[in-house]
Amino acid sequence: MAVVLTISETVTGSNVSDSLAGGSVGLDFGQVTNGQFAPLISQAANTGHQDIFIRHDAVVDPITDVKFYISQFSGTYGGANSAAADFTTLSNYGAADAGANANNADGLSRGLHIDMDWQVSTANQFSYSREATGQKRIFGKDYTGKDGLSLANAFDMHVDAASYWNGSSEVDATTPVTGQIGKSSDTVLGNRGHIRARTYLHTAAVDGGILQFDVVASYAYTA
Amino acid sequence: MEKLATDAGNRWLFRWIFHYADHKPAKVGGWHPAARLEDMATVQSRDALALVMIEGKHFTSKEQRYFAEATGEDFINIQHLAIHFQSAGLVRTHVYGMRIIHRHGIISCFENGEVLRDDRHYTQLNIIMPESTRF
Repeated sequence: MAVVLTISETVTGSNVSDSLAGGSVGLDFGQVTNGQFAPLISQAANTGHQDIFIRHDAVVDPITDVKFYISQFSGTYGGANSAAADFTTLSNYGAADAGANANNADGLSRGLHIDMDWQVSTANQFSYSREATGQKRIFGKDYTGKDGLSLANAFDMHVDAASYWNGSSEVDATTPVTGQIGKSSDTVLGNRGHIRARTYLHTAAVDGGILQFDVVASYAYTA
Repeated sequence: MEKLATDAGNRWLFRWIFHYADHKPAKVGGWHPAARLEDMATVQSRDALALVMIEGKHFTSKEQRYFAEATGEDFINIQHLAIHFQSAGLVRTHVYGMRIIHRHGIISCFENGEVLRDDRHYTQLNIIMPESTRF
């Protein structure tokens, strides 16, 4: 049976449905100021992020090979330039990211960052040291050939993104596997992926306006 | 991952076929993901399973041909390959390929006609070329 994902902002929510410029719906990260990140609560405290939950309706087996990549915006474009130009801009931001601080204190971070550890502490979230473990990824940045810009070069969902919603609280999956999300009752693999995302802008950025792009989730399921 | 064949510029749909050694009729999946549990590959009998195949149908010309095969012994599963995205307010799932999971490797068929083999054993996972030429 066809397996459909639900990608939500809350642990049991419906598909993301923010109204976007141009008329489409999706996920609005909000406005980001030069030298900061969004969503932002406190730059000094490294707080503020966008939660993204991924779950599915498979009834036979877990889904496997869950990966993420960005592509050109496929909705009705309402940004400041064009969908193609925005994809190039975001890709280039990731490739040029030279930041060293999770909170962009040095003003050199840019692009779309994800932290695939649903339990990461506030102090450590989006830390650059987490790139070595595969927990943090920046779309457009090269990680030994994987840059998150295409299906072929998509980023694997890290095991630390796997969580289990037991009906009242979110707990850790007991033995998660990279890129796998279990069925609704699966406490071992977990029944959702939970990642955090931020958009960063470097201090020297000159382009203003709305940037639009797609984040695509790919996966495999039992036929 | 070894690229075995490319038929770029095309778009193919795929279905699975199970051939049995004891003259039981073959089981054949649909061109789209099964709507019922009993039509899924995973619930079909594995007794005397001799050969598992992936057949493709060209989206526009309707030409049909076999893309891949694997021995029934050590066969694990068939999977659809899919992406999830939202466009113009609609949540969409696009199936872009099918693959055979086998104890000796994985062979994946993509909608553009490309076939990739995570190669571990040549004799048990085969790509089938248009003229049935086999590697």
